[in-house]
Amino acid sequence: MFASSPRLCLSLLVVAAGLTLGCFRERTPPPAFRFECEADDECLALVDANGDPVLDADNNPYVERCISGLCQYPCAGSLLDLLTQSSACPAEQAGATCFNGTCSNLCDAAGEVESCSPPHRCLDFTSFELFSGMEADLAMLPQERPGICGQRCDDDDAVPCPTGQICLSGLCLPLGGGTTGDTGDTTDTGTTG
Amino acid sequence: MNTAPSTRRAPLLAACAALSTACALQQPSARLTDARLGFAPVLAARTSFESEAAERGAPPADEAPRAARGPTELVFWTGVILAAVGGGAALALGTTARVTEGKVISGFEGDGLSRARLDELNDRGAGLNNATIAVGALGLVGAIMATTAYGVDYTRCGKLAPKRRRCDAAR
Repeated sequence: MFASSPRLCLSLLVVAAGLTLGCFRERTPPPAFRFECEADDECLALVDANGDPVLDADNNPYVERCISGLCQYPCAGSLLDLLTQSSACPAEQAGATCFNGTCSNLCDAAGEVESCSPPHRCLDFTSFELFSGMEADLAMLPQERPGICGQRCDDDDAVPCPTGQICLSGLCLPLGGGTTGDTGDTTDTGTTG
Repeated sequence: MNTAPSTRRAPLLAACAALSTACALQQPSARLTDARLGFAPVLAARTSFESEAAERGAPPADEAPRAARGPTELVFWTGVILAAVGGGAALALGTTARVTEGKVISGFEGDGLSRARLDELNDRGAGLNNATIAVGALGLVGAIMATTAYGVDYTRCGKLAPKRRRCDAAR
């Protein structure tokens, strides 16, 4: 019956294709994504599923700040926190650790899709002298070439290291060699390499 | 002899036969016949009711369904137009929705995105979803209308479904 009416078949086909294709789905930002901003008021405080603010160890809410044009959580720790499993970054941000003054997420430097938000890029751990000789340990991570989203502190447009840290080979490290773990201001008297 | 009376009755029988068949001899000229049923004169001959109707120019009783062809065709083509327009619009809106979703994805994957821009894209995407559903439903209604009208026309031996049945024999 429909063979003699190609227009009808075509119409049905078009309707079906339209209904199949016509679906916009809201996407959840990936963990390493950071929203662009121009001022702090474009950034938000971290809230839980109930809409209540998430508090840090000092009962202060995690509030994003506009750092390097991205909404980020400032922190006073360092990448050494990753080794000691003592991150001051919000646990709600899966995989986030303090790196060069901001909470940053791990990434795969071998990934075809850029998972970091510019000006951040996925920095391969092996590009830092701190991790030289730790290839076997890095191989235990799920990423093919484990790295972290961020900027080297010796980049021209990098933000200063947190107070009490110095920039060594692109990595902000505490002068005393220990780990800090408190959130802090990253834009004041930091030292760049 | 016995043959004399029968010889005398012959003219009388001829006169009676002529009188009794006179109406019949005149009738064929006034009655309409169906040429397709010529092999069976009894079937070919129409009743006086049919003949009178034909003389008045009224359609025969067996062509009554053909009178409904007009509305059926109207419904069919209205449905086709609705399905085409609705389907085309759904396709266009769906494509736009996918493009919008692609902008969100590319924003997450390196192009960058602000919260305001994400909210704008999400609102646009939700609006496009609603519009796609609306025009898609319109197209679906049109498709159902066209299908139903086509089916009805098929059953009634209409123009929309020619050569699919021996409709001529039924008329």
